[in-house]
Amino acid sequence: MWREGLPLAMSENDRESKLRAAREDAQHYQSRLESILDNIVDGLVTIDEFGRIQSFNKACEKMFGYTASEAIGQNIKMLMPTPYAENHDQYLQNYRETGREKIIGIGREVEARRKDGTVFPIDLAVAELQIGDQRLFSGIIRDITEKKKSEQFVGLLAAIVQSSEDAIISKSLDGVITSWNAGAEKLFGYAAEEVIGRHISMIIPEDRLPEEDSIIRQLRQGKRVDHYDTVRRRKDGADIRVSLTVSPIFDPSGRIIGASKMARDLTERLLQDERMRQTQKMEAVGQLTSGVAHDFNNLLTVVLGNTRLIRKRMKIEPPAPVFADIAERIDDIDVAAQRGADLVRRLMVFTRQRPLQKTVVNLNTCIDEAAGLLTRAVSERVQLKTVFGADVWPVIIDQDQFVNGLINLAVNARDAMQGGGIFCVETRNVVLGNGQYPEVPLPAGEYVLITVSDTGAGMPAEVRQRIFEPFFTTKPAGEGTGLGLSMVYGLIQQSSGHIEVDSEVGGGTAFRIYLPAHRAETQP
Amino acid sequence: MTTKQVLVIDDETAVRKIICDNLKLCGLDVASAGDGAAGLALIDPARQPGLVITDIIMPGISGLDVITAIRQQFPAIRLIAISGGGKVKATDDLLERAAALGADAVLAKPLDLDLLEETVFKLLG
Repeated sequence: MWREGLPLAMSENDRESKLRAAREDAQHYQSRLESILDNIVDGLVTIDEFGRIQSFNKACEKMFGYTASEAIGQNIKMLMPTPYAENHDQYLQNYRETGREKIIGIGREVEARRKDGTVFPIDLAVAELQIGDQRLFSGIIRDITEKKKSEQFVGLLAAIVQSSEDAIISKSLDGVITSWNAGAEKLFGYAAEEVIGRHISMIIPEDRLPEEDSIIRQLRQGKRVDHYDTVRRRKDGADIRVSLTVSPIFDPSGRIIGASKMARDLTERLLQDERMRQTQKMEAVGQLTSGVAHDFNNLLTVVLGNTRLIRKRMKIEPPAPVFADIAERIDDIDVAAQRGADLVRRLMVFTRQRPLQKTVVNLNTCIDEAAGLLTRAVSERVQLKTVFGADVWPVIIDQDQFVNGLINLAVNARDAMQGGGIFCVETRNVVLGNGQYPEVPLPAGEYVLITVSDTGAGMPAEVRQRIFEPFFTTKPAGEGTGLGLSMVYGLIQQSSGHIEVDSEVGGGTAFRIYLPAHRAETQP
Repeated sequence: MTTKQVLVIDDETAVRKIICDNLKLCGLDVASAGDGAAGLALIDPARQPGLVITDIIMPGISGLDVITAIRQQFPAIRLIAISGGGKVKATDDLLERAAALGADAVLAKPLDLDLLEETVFKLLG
C-alpha cells in the first residue's frame, strides 16, 4: 500500500532511501505486532476461506502442542475433535455460498483437540477480516479447562446439597431465606419458591423465636451452632423435632454474609428409640418374670405335694378329733396354691415359656364361635359388633389362647364403657411391605389384621405405654391381675405377629393385631 | 437289668423330698440326687433303676444332658422330665427339647402329683 503512496517524481536516491525507511518502518511495525500477538495469553489463529491456517501464535503452540511451522498451511480441522471437524468444511462452504454465519462475531464454548489427541474446552471468538482481496477468519481461543472444572465442582456441590436427606437452608444475617434444598422441601413441606426471600421465622414456632436471636448473635461472632435439638414448624402447622447445625457463611474477604442451616428430622429416630426402649423393657420384664415363675413353680410343687401327702396320710390314719378341721384347712391351702399356679401359668404365656397348641385357624369362624362368650364378657350394656373381611386368610395360632385374649380385651372394653357402647371386632387381609403400613415392625408379607375397638373412655399416653407390662393394672387392688394384656402380648409375639394400640382419652381404644397368613401357595 | 427303682434328680431339696415321699407312699423304691452328675453316678449298670425323673434346669450337668447320657448308655431306663419353665432363653421350650432328646414323658411344674404317679406306674409297667 505504501508503494502507491510514494510520489513518482522523486530522485532515484530519494526513492531508495524513502523506500528503505518505509521498509524498516514496516519491519519494525511487523515485529512489534508479532511480539504482541505472541505474548498475548489467548491463542490467536487465522485461516483463509478454505480453512487453511495462516498464522498460529505462541499461545496456540502451547495450547495445542503444534509448532507454528507444523500448523501453518494445514486445515484448521486438525485442531477440532469430532463432530466439529467433519462439519467444518461444509460450514465454510455454506458460508462462502450463502453468507449465513453461525459463530462469526460471537464467542462460544466449543471443544478443541491437541496434537496428542486429547480434547479440551475452549472459548472461541471468531471474526472475519478482509485484507486486500483475501478473506480471512481470525479465532481468539481461550482454554477454559480450569473454569469448566470449577463450574462442574460447583454443580456437584449444588447436586449434593440438593439431594441431601437433611434440610439445607441458607439465610442472610437478617434472617431472609436465600436457598432451600429438596430435603428442606420434604421436611418442612414448603417448595423453594414459596420461601426464598421470606423470613426464616416462618418455620419457627413463636415460643422458639428468642432462640433464633441467640443463634444469630453467635453467628455474628463467627461461631457455629452444632446439633442443637429444637422444634420447628411445618407448612401444615405440625411441630417437628429437629437437630440443627448452623454455620456462618463468609465472603472471600472473610466478612460474615449469612448462615447455612442444616436440619435433621429427629421424629423417626425418637420413635425408633422409644420402640427400642419398649422392647428392651418388655424383654427385661420377661426375663424377670420367667425367673420368678420358675421359682414359684418349685415352691408350688412343694406346697401342693405336701397337701396331697397329708391327705393320703389321713386316709391311712385318720386324725384325732381335735384335728377334725384339718381336711378343710388343707383344701384352703390347695385352693390358694392352685390360684397361684394359675397366675404363674398366665405369666408364662407372657414369657413364652408355655407351649402353645398351635393349629391352622380361620379367624372369622373362630371369632364367630366365640361371639357368645364375648357377648357375656362385655355385659348387656355393650353391643358386640363383628365385621368379617371376605376370604380372610388362615393363620396359625393357639385358638383357645386367642379366644382368651379376645375375652380379656372385651372385659377391658366393658370396664372402659361404663355408660355402654360398642365393642367391635374386625378382620381383614393386609399386605405389609408396600408402604401402606409403614409403622408395623414385621417382615413384608401377607397378614390378617384383627382390629378390636371400643367406644369407651380411652386412656392417657402414660397408661397406653405400659398396658402390656405384666402386673400393670389400672383396676382397684384385687380386681385385676395386670396379666390379661401381657398374655395377649406374649401370645401374639409367640405367633410371629404384632400387637399395637391406639387410644385417646375420651376417644375410645383400638388394638390392632397382625398375624402372619398361612397359605399353602405362599409356603416354599 | 432294670428294677422297679425310681431315681429322682432335682436340685431343689424340698421338691426332691416331696416327690420322693409321695412315691415312697405308693410303695416304690426311691433314690435321689441333688444334681445331674450325682444322679448319673448313682446308676449301677448292673442294677439300673427302671425310671429316672429329672428336673431340667440344674447347675452343672443339666437335665437335658442327663437325658442324653442315659439314652446313650442305658436305653432301657424310662425317663420323665419335669420343669418349671426356665431362665435359659425365653424362646426355648425346654420340655419340647427334653421330649426330642428321648424323654418318655414331660411334666410341667407345679407338678400334679396324681398325674406323676399315674405316669410313673404306666412307664414302669
